[in-house]
Amino acid sequence: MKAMSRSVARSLALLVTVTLLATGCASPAASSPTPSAAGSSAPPAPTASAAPILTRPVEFVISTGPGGGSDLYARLWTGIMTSQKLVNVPVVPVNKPGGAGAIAFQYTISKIGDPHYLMVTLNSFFTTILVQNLPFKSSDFTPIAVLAKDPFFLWVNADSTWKTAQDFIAAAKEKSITVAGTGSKQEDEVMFRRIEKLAGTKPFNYIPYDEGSTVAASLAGHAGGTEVTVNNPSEGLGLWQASPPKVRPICAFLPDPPAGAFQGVPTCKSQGLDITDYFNLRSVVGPPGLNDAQIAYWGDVFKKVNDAKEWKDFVTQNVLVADFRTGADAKKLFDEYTKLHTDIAIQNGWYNP
Amino acid sequence: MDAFGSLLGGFGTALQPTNLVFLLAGVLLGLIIGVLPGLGGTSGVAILLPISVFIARDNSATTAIIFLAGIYWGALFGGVITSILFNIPGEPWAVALLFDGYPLARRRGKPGVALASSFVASWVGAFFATILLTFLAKTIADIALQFGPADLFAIFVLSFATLIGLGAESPIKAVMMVAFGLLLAAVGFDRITGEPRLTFGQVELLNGIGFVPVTIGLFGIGEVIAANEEAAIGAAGAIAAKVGLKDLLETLAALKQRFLLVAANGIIGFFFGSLPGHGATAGSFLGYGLARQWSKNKEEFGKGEISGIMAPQAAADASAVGAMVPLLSLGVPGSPTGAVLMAGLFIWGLVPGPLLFIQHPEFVWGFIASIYVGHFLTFLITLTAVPLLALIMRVPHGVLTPLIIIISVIGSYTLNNSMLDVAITIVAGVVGYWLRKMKYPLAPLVVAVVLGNATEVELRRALIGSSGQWTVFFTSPASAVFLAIAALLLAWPFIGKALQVRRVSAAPPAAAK
Repeated sequence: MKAMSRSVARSLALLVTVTLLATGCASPAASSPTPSAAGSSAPPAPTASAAPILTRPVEFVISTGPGGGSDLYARLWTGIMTSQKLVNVPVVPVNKPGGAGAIAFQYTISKIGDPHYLMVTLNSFFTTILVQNLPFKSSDFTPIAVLAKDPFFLWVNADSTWKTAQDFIAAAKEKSITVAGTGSKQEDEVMFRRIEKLAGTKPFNYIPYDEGSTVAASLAGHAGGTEVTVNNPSEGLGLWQASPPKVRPICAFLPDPPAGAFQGVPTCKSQGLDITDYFNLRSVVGPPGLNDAQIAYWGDVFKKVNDAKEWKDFVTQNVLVADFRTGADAKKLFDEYTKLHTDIAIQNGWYNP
Repeated sequence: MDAFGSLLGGFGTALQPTNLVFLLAGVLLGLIIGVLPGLGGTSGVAILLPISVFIARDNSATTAIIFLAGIYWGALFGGVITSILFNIPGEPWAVALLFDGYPLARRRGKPGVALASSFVASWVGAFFATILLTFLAKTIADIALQFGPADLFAIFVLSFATLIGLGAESPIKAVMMVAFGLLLAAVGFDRITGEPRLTFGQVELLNGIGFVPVTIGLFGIGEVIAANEEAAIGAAGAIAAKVGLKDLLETLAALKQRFLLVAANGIIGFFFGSLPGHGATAGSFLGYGLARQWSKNKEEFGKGEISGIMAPQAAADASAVGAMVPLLSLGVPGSPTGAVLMAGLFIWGLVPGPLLFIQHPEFVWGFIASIYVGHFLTFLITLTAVPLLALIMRVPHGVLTPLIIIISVIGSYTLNNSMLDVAITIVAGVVGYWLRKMKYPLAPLVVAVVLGNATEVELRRALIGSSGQWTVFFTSPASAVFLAIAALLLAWPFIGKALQVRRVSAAPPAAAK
């Protein structure tokens, strides 16, 4: 018993030390990004190149709180970078929540030319900047990498009488349907306004919730009268697999039918709702004015993150669409999304250029 | 009784040496994180999420979740320590503990009893909640799903109603404070329209005037200024309280008298926690309000009444357990920390939801059993630490004052990494001092700042869903019942007053806090 407790104590002490080192690095780095904050756990700088690109800890800016939308992605990628030693300095996730991303954007945009800042994006990266008339543009940021595209599905409550997208559209032409989504004038509402326009339905009663999971829950419980959502697959999966199921995917806004857990769900296009070009972008941007070497460095790091098994497994489990892009390819997709969101924002009166 | 057998199997998993070690490590880390200002359970779990990936890889996902959840339980206990000893809340649901925890620790000189009360209540509340989780997870989850915006709004109204007149001699001053609090809560990003409101073009203000910086300022800094003034005129002496077994015995005796209240709050908190969204805070305020409504000596509240510590703490810890209900049974996190734990599940390659019970029973039941074990460990550790912690109260003012101000400033900065929050804290500190001097009650202000935004958002969501029909609040049975109780509670003081007008002049002057 004594020996046991001693070994327990020893491993405990070790663990506590390690963890405190990790967190100890985390908090000072968040406040003052000085080299001293790197502490003792920073791996040595690489010797290959003449001048290392990174000389102090990197802040990975997250526009939501812990546990929110993009937080999980930033932490997963940071974990992979750390475990595979892809970066020579610590990479610290820093939450700057608030204003649907505005606070994080404002923070990152001010770090001109500094490769020690990265930011994970959601589509609020495109919408918030327009809707709130922020004094900069999405295209001012430096695109680093697109890692995956998170598709939208059309969901109804399991007891709904609608079997296809057409049933839903026919009903929506008769009366205003109550729908729910994440945030106001963000990706979910963008989807619904696109459906409204494309299918010529009556305007939806759109209820904004704070989290995708709460949106799915409101659909499952008919809470607040929610009849339809466009949740990402991972947000609805648990409620769909419940026995008896609580929600049901009608169709997927994908060019091709989904595989894996969602095998058998048709595309919305096949049911006459032709939207195949809109996803939640799981991507990374940097501050304005990064040079080519810096962009290439980060592009290379994220290429390795993208190849990691942990990430590949995650993509499969969550039915993400793998579409890895860096450099000019990433910029092209960002430009398309900027245009798409600008058009929608103008059409709906959310933004006056 | 299938659940019982599964639970026994779960204990087999949870009590394996490796899991026990990681649970203990998590609990200890959680306690430290909880005590550190600004860092609460959510950020603690989030910070250690990357480490859990290695734990899951080298051991099992069960070990990983036991470790992370251990941090959560530890932080829940640790978070109350600053509330009680320094008057600085670490988490929203620790706000209700300020009202009586700090007065009991400082004014009455019983820090040991105050701390022990909260730990005992935490444990009892969590114990009842975990029993409910073990046997009723699925049923409760189904009920919780039915709760829409109208019902949540009604719950918030009920929380307000139970708290009306909190520590107030003058109802007009209390109403003014509620209005001021609602105004502060209105500043920031309007979640319904997605646009800034009352921010005057300041991007930093989009986060709003957060209740944590406000509360830290009002209570932490405001109290320090006031206390120093008293110390300067020689009113406050050193606390010579003896700490030890006596405190524990006193606490247990107090618990015995209030066992029903604590257990009831455990059950209420559990249900509130299982509601998707923000149940814990409303739960702890409601717990406090109920304790006060039911108490025979209402005048003691706000001055260090033990029920005022036990009730909200039991509800808060129980709602943390309740938040696991939708997470495990539906794959919907019931709290921010739940969301981080769910992120962990995804990263370890598990899909949260009902299939977990079928595909990975050892994971689910090991985790549930670890809630019992984890709370018991935390309880033992914190109780042994009470005498040490209580010693802090003997530190002289000259040392304690700068310490509290430093903790307040760091705490408000850490929350959003924002200097604006630090400014808010300092301004709130000065305003808090002034309000205290003018005998305005602070509690109604804080409650309005904490619950104002959520109440407004649920009200507007309900009205969007009903196309603007107010009847939505009465067609939903839950909402109708809660609103009716709220109306009754609001009317009660007036009815009571009408019945016995004579007692008015006899009322002792309550401290403005």
